[in-house]
Amino acid sequence: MTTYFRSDFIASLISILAGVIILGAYLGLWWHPPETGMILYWRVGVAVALIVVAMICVGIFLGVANRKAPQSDEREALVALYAMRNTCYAYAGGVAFTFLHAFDGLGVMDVAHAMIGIIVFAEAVRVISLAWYLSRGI
Amino acid sequence: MAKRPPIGNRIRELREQHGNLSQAALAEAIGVTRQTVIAIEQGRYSPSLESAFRISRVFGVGLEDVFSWLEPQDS
Repeated sequence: MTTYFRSDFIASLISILAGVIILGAYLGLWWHPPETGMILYWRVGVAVALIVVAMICVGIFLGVANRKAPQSDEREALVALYAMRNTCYAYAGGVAFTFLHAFDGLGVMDVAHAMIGIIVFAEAVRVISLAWYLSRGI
Repeated sequence: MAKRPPIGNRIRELREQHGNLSQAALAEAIGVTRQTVIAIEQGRYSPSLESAFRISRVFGVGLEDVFSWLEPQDS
């Protein structure tokens, strides 16, 4: 696998983890729900910053540990394209679902977390698609 | 499971004929990952025309000496 593909895959896993932590806090499973929008912005902002830092660290580590890996691979590029198509379906489905429930008494915090939920769902679809197409063929 | 492309290949046979060339070495020679060479060899992936030419050039043979079209059999 190329270093790009590996770090891209790991970035998706980290973003899913960050999203699950934020959603779990909102649902009261751990930590505590954000009291204000500003606190939610901070949580998301810190999560995004950590994802970027983790991606850079993982990319550097994989690049050093796997120096012989090719820079690109035609099959992986195709797999990523198919996975991105499925991700777009997931985003579209998530937005449509949120739209349909937008007038069911949802608050701003609900909608904001629904957006995070859509991102987590779409990234999960992406990760599963990458693994599926890479192992089963396209 | 994804439908297999109707393209056969002799890559494994040619690798053995060329001093047991490893899949990793072939992958490096044509500029793809080892996993892609495995997928091509097992018929799970049809390479691009460029990669097909690169493979045939590594073995010093023509394109049709490496790849062949598999006619669908009547059931």
